[in-house]
Amino acid sequence: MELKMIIAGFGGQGVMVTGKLLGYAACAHQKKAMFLPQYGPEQRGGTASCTVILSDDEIGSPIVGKADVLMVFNQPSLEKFLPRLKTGGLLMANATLCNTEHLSDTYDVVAIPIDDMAKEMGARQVANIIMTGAFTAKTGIFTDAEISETVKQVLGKKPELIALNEQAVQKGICLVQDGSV
Amino acid sequence: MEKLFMKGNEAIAEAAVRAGCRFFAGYPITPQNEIPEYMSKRLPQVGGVFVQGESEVASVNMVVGAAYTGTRAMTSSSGPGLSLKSEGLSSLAGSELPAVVVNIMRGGPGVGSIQAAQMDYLQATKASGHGGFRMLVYAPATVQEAVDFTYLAFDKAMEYRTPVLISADGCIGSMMEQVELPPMKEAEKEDLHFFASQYLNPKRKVITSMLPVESEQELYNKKLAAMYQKWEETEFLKEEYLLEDAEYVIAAYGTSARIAKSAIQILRGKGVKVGLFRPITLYPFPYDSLRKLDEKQVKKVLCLEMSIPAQLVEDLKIGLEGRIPIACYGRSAGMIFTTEDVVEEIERQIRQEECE
Repeated sequence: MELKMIIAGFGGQGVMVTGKLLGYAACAHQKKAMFLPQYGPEQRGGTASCTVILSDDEIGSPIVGKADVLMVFNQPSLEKFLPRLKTGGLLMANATLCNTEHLSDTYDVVAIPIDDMAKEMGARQVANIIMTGAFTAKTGIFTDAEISETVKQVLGKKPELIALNEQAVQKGICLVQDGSV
Repeated sequence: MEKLFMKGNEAIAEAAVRAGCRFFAGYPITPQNEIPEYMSKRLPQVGGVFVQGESEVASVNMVVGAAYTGTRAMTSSSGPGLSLKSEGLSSLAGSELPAVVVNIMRGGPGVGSIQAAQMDYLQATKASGHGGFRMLVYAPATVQEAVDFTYLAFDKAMEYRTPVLISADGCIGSMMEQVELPPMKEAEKEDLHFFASQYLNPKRKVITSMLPVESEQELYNKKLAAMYQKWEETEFLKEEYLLEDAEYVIAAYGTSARIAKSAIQILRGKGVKVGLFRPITLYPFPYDSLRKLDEKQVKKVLCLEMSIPAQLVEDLKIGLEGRIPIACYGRSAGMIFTTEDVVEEIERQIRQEECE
């Protein structure tokens, strides 16, 4: 199994954190991972993106051409990176900011209003963690316990967010498991 | 051993500390900034010294100074900074001083672009400064290799009293991968003795890259030449992948070689006989692998590089001596070919071959 993915959004939405989290989770659970942030002369409010490869075996090329998974947190990122998602690939989109109408004919679309949900939870910064939970459940790449443990370990430096992060992961997992997205 | 998920630049810095590096001076430049950042925090923890110099020139000369004392020292930069440091590199080579230099390569020439590229091959291998000196040049393709070669580089620098270069493209510096770190080495200052002393003042340690009597300078040149000759016999490292039956050979190093390998797996699945030749040391260059290629079997060698124009091709020409045609395929400035691009390029080369 090898998953090549692109994660994109605007600065501050947790694009890099999400990518690194998946890498740490793979590393802690006997898988291989590669995380490559896209650095450029980016503008504030511009697009931030990274590529992640998760694999059971040694990772060859670290450069992602066509991706198996595209995770986007805003509409400009969806428009910019959709051409790099392979036909039938998994599109995970922040439905609060992205319009995924008509895309389900071509892609496996999972649209979740993560910003609205996070706002309801009272912590906008956990939106990407809801998505991380949903991604894990959708792909089955990590168990619920594995991803929860990694989130707690990596983001544990902010104790006030530990419980919220845990809830956010579970929310994402449940959304997929009960078939509501 | 425990595996950590680390960024290339930080892993290089930690490997240096574990190899006994206790002095670092540098000046910021993308895409290597995490190396000085990490060192600024880490070196004081182990009794080392970190200095952010006022310039690249000052930084490399501080490393020269640290090397005088037998301290394991390092500096790092990217292409534009390496150009500025070239005077210091020549001083290190001219004074028999050990140091490790890291170049995380980006687009060029000039200021170029800040994204990953392999634009400094000729600078690294042919003329890193004036005076005809060489450096051992290691080109890692994974974060693990970046760690392993950085660790090794300090021993080699001390063994040969020479600057050693780690030449990695920006991808290796910015990416995170799993690594196993080597054990911590105690940092012991070495009591260095210098060739120049016997001519200038045998009773004292004289450290200089200047021998004003021409016959003495020539003797030093001969000493260096003999050392480079030895490197060419013993210090080269290479990787050969599926070359036995290959009709097409991709020659690539660093990240390009990883992309090539993925492409080769796809092409092999289609029945195309392709293999990889990867120099791991860019100097000394493993010409032997190329000399061994059979011109009756290999139809073409493809030089694959994150550089336009191609640079690695110059060493391929030397190694192949015109026996096998060479084609070049490169992207530059942070534009990087994908596995699919390389597959297409090889298929294009094959079609072209058939038309001829």
